[in-house]
Amino acid sequence: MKKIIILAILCFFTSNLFLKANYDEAIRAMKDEMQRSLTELKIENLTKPYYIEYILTINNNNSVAAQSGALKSNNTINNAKLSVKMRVGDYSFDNTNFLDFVISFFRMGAEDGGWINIQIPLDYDYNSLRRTLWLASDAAYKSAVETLSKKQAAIKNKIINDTTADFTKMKAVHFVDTLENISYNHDKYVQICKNLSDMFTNSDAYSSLVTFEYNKERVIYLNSEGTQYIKDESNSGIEMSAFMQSNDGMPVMNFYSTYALNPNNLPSQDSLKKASNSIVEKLGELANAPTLAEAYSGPILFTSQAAGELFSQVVISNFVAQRPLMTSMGKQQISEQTLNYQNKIGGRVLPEFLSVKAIPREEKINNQYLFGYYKYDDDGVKSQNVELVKNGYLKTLLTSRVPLKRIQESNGHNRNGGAIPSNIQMTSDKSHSKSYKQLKDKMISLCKDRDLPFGIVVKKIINRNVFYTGIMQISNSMFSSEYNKLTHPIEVYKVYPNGKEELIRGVILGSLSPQSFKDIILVGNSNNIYNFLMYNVVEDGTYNPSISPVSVIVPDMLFEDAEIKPNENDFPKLPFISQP
Amino acid sequence: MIYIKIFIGIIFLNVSLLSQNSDILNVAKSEINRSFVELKKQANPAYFISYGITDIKRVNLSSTLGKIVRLDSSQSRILDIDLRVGSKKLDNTHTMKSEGMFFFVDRSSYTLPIENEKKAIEKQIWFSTDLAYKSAIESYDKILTNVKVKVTEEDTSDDFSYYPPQKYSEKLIENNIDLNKWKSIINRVSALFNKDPKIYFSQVSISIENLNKYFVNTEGSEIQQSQPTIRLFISASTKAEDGMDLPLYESYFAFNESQMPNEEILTKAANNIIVLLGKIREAPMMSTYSGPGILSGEAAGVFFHEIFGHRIEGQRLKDPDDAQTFKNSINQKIISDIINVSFDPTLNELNGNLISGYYKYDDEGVKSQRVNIVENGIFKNYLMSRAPIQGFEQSNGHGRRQAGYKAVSRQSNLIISSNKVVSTQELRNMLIAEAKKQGKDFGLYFVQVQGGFTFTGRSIPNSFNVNPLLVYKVYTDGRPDEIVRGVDLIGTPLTSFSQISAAADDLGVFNGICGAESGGVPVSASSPSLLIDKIEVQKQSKSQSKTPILDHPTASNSNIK
Repeated sequence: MKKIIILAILCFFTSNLFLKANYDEAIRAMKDEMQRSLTELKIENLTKPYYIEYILTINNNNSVAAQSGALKSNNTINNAKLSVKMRVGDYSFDNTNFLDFVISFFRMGAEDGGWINIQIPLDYDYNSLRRTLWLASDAAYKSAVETLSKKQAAIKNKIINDTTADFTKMKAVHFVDTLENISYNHDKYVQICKNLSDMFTNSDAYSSLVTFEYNKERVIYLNSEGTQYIKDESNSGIEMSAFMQSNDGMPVMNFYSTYALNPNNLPSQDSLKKASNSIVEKLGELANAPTLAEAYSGPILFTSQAAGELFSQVVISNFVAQRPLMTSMGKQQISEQTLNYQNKIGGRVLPEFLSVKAIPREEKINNQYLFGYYKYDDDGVKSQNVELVKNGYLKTLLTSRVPLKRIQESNGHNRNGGAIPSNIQMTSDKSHSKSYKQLKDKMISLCKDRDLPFGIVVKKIINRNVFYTGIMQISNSMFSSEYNKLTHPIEVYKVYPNGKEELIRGVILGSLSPQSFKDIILVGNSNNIYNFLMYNVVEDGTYNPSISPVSVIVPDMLFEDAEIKPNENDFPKLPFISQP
Repeated sequence: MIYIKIFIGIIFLNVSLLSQNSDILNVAKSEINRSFVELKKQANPAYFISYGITDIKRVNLSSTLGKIVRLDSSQSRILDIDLRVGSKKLDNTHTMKSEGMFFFVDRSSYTLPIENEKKAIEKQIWFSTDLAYKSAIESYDKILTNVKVKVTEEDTSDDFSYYPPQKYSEKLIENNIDLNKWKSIINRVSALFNKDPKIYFSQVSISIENLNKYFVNTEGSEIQQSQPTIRLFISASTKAEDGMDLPLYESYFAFNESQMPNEEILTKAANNIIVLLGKIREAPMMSTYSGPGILSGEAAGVFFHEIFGHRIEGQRLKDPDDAQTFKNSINQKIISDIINVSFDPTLNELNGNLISGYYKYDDEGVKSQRVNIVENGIFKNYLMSRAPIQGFEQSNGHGRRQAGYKAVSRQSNLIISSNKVVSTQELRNMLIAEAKKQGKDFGLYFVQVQGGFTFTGRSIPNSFNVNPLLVYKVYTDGRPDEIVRGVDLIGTPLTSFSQISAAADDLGVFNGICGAESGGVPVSASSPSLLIDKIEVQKQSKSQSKTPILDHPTASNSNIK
């Protein structure tokens, strides 16, 4: 006990760490080494760098995990990292947007990739920074000229149709976007995690996990166009997961997640307790719920968290502008899943009563905090609210400074290595937004037309990230990765003509594509605000997955035609040993 | 400043938790008994269960050029379950034949909460034991079929041997070094590398690992032991003009803070590395060579660990895919009769040197013991876990693993000694004489090695590779010794073995972590300097990346020269 108090006090002090960071010294070292690199860094007969970026990041990460009322881990990490990005050639044709398999796949050792995330001392000074920048710039330059020559070789015998530039020029900006000192008491979250996890101790759940994380970073940035900034970012979240088996062996799971940029905006301990209680209860209900007798094809209503998860998994990554990378073997195909809208600008992608906007500049909606809020992106571009879909028609995509044939300008969406959604809001015209009751009535009437004895409401779907950070951690292969898909929703209800809802388990949802969203017939009249952590969409060549805070704001959605069927897989046997 | 204090806080935490730790053993004991009763009643009854619980607490501290770059700590608790169905004669751990190249490491390991909350730990143990049982009956089924459809095994020994129950409990020890003091020391030592701007990488680091191990099994063993270690490394590397990376390091091993080297020793070592790296950078590239060589004690230890140690680990003799080099060597002469080889995990010190392959009980609850493998050149024994091999039914306390892996027989403190020794000067003279005899201008002297690796399978040639860091040419015509760079020591085990001809009266010790199928385990290898009549070296793989284009940015305007 005594110790935890010590820890808590000290962690509270760590917020001062950022204040101690010596910006002037950092910027001076960056400027001096950048100037030297721009003028002198050159191998005979090869081109000099035309653009350099130095990024110094100071991190403070706090994480806690608890299980059945006991701590499982409790870590605080403070570190500082430096990265160098270098471009040789010119804006129209440089060493980027090219995938060099050799460099990308065998990035190892100090010399290959020794310019990204180099750990540096927290008490760095001018000399130590200059030295690190010197070696990192050297390594980055050597790799850049090598990649450029490979790229030049790759196009030698080809007629290039797409002559879009590799990079857009930007006017220099200077800004300071730091956070007020966020009060943070680590001990409080250790206790919260233990208390919440204790709610699972005497339940039938086989195992459970409650985790908390709070990450804070300060970025000191300089590029050779003269842009210079200091920017703070933070994010925090609490996740809970649990699972058990039904009597027929079918594994069932449940989870809860909540995220906020500022940990003080996370739900109160009381409402978290309610959440954990309801997870336990719902898990028990699920284990005893009936299964679906036969396949169903008809209207399906997605509400609450399920509406958010559905929209985030199927649609929003398609809003990211993606430049196909050139490789020595021709153009690199990007995952089809995220490419549906790339050539659809001007075309209809949703029903005409629906519109979609990216609203990274909004901090709150209906007094609820949005997780995808920020003022400047990683390029130093001011975030912009962007009209993505207007009355069903696609207007533009979310971009960084990497231009596309039809989109030349950045709209400030470059975060963590590439363009990524921010706050994505779907809105409807008045005549198509209805109350929950009206949506259900509409579904029931559609069911009658099709002679269906019931309709279906999906209320909860596993969050992709929590599946890995929670469920997979505790269940030892009981759930295959198949379960981490929309196809295995958690909370599904039959809705009978009298309006009665009945929870069912073990259903598999037929696949839904962005095109399916054209078949939405009505939406709800309230917002589901769903915050989550999203994996990067654009591959930056490092193959390092990065995650960014994102929010979707969507109404309930009624699809005219979708399918579900019973899960008829083989299930693991029940435990041989009785629970202690 | 604050940074450091946080971690001191965490270390205090660890201390305050200690008092309750004996509870762990009791929780494990009651759960293993409860599970065993239930699992004995199943159609495929369990006949043996053991739980190994390892509390792991680590602190890592490192400094580069006078500044702390890394300071972190971690804590975890791992449960390893050995659950057996069938019988000692044939159980679920039996080696499957012709499993192909599919490399599957069966890791029956689970994480437990780090706090001593009875209910929380019970629940995880329960769920983990059930999974382990399910996995055991699945493997056992496959093995029954495999045994029927494949040819009869050469070695028909049992899968498991009996070992009497052990009760042992020692006071749990935990190292808490004075972080502020050590932070200052390693900052001062690492700052020495500022002297040479051509040393592109340098680091002084300390890693503290506190392992508290709890073991219970259904035969009635209960063991509680502590294995704290502290390792200190000084490492640095430079680059030759041709791009070759040239690393050099010095390492220190201790069981507690009082045994750690003082600042004076570290300063001397760092300065020595700086001088040597300067010389190695300018040294000529060595080309392929075959001829006589001396291995320093430390180098000879690593050499034996690779070419010999891995081939006498008992379970390999049962694996039909293993080359089984020494299978039929019992009571045969395999090496010069001046050489003795033994493994002794009961020692924590050898001639005043601390050795890291020390433990009281192995990870199968077997008491550690000295094992003589070679006596006067004659092969006598293998390193044994509780998995018997033909003619060797009992464990000799070498069943080891890293938490999270299945225990197999592994090395401990390898000790090479000689019945007939000469002075180091005499050994050098013998090297020169042997070189002349073979018509060579020089012999090689391997002073320091980084480590090595070997293959023991049948589908890959059984070669070994030892990576030297510091090698000298010793000329036959009296010219001074010359540092050379860029070669690895290679060879095949039996041939190399037959070439050992003399030993010196010195002793070199190598402490390291050995990695194999049961994870990384601390080992040591000690030996006198050895003369080998014929060694072979091959060119090292080398970086193709040039030295930095620009000069050190601040070397000219500071005191860095």
